[in-house]
Amino acid sequence: MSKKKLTVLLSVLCLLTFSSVAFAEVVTITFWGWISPEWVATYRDFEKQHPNIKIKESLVSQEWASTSEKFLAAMAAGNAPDASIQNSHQFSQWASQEAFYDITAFTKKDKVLAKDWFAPQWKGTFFAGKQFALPGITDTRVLYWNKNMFKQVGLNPEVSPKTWKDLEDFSEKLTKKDASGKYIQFGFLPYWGNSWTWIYGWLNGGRFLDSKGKKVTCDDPRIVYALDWMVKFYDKYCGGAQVAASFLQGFQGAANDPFVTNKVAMQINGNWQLWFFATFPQLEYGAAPPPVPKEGMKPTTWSCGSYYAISANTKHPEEAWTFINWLAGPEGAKALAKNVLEQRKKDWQRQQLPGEPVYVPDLFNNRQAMKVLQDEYLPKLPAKVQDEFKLVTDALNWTHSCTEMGLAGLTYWNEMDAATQAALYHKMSAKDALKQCKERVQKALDDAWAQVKVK
Amino acid sequence: MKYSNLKKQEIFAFYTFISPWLIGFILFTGGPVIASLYFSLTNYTVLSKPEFIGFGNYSSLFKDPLFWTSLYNTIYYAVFFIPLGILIAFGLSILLNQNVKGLAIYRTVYYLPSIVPAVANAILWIWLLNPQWGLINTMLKMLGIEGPGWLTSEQWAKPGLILMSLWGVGSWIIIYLAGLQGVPEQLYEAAEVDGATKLQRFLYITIPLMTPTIFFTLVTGLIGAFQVFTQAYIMTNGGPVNSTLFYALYLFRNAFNYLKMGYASSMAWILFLIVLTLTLVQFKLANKWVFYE
Repeated sequence: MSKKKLTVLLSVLCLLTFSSVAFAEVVTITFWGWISPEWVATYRDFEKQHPNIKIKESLVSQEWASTSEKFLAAMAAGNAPDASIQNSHQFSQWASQEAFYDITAFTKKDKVLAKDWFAPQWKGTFFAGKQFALPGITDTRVLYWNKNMFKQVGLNPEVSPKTWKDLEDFSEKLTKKDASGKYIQFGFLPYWGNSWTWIYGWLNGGRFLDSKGKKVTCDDPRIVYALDWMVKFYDKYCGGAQVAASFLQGFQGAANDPFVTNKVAMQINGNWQLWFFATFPQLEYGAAPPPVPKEGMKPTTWSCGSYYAISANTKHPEEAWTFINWLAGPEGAKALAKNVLEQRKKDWQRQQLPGEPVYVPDLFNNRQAMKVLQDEYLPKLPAKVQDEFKLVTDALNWTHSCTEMGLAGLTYWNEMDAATQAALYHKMSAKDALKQCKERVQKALDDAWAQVKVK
Repeated sequence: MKYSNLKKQEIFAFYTFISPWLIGFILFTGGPVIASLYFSLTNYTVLSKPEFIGFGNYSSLFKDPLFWTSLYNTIYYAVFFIPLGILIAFGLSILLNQNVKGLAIYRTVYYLPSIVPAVANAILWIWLLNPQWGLINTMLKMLGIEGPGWLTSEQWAKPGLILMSLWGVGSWIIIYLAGLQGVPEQLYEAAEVDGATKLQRFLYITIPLMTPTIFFTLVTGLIGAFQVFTQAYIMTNGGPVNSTLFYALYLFRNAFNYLKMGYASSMAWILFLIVLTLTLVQFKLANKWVFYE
């Protein structure tokens, strides 16, 4: 072979090798998640970093609570997306039915370790010792109080209520009626904001399921006590549940928010409120752990949020894993934060809001992701918001997860709401309402366990 | 039977032309209907294979208090909505059948609500029923009445939703208008010649000749009322205290939220039987009051 020929041959080989790299098969992953501009931009960022994977996103659902209808239909038809965002209420039941791909081997291979994640949601991704998702973004609930309203009635605006008794005493001062006896201002409304009866049950040390997750225990005396306290609180400080509900019906739309417009002085609500409050510079407020029933008890809270799961019938588990691992981790967090801020700048301009847009970091369950966001974005926030943010982040360590609602989580959720309403509206005593709830959920739970497929 | 060639061609053309609908109906409606009958006899989570349990779902349904609550709420809704709807639609259609100026505008105005999309309608009514600043309570206040909490009140949530549905009776008005215009003019003329008063003409000509139309709205209204869903799903989510947990909403929750498709299917079949029975009863009773020319 002449030298010339050899050169040609080598260069052809070279070309072939490189082109095969360049034209390596591109795998397309279908993903059901959010499709607002910041998320779509984040998926595109992923593609830039992973040229061999394309993300084809579509909206999981307009309503977070009803993501399942669409997914269920797709599962039944055998064309579920490769990966999807799942809500934690229903996650365990779906996982128990083999809807999701077991990612345990992937986590071992890529050294995705429990210690790198906040425990409550991490634990929730397991069923029968197998892991079926990575926890994505979550939330925590804390107490917010309106300092202006405190000042108006002569309460020290820097002192938040620490106990349920404090809530009562403060409400005594903060609740106001007009001359005709109509309520025009409330101190605290236990079931308003984003508290739900769950938080009072947990705060009082109640347990909603036994340790195996097979027995419903919402008639736990500590939970009965909590609901009973709510009922009495409504009757004594709010004119009853119905008066309060019809008062709140009046405030619809963000600018009308009763907390911001000085109509309700204290509320238990989620960390997302920090975003919302940031759009009202005149609002002076504080955040504190949810008040406990009695002095000396440990505060707690609860968290729901999203899980990233791979569907059991996917043809591309590895690529889907690469994607969800990225999305839940520091890289995804960085990309999302950057895109959210860009989007917010646009919103700020369009709505002509006062001040500069800020990024109050989302609560990632991945510790590294959280750290990256804190390092970069926290120093840019006002000192006050930094403190509040530290509180909601710290809560990730001592929070309860929605997955603790068990295999029949959504039934439990709906029945607890029904029981609370029945008690607040005096259809039943707190004890009877919770007993009825227990019976109904127990049945659903038994069914759910009978249908478990994961060994 | 023997058909001429032309007739055969016509029959062939007929079935060819309706085949898209026919195939679609058999595949996408008929198929699921039959499948649901089978699923109603199974334990079916959709994620796993259905497991045959005979009439297990039906027997646990009758023991399920929420089933009875939802059935009660639905019957309550139907009992008030249908007669009121018929009265209002009939009354309005008579007014809209008069020869007044701007008739086309009135007709449009009264029909318009029924083409508002269900969700937009629901959002609008959340505001109208707002206890403090809602239009309805504001108007009641002018009359010196302290309005109820509507959607937040256990007693008033259902009436609130019924009120809202009454706003959308425009399609019935159209049907009644068509019926009214189908009443032969010469009957009125003959009656007038014989000295019948306006009221007599209405009672003895209009109403009897309208009975087939009323019957039609009664039957379709009943079927529709038993499927009431959207308002409760969007506006109240079944609350307060399950007072607006309608049958279809509870069925939907079982099917899609609780992964109990078999149970939900059995609910669907019970609903079908209820509606079928009521419809048959109505047809039976119709002989006594519906007047066909």
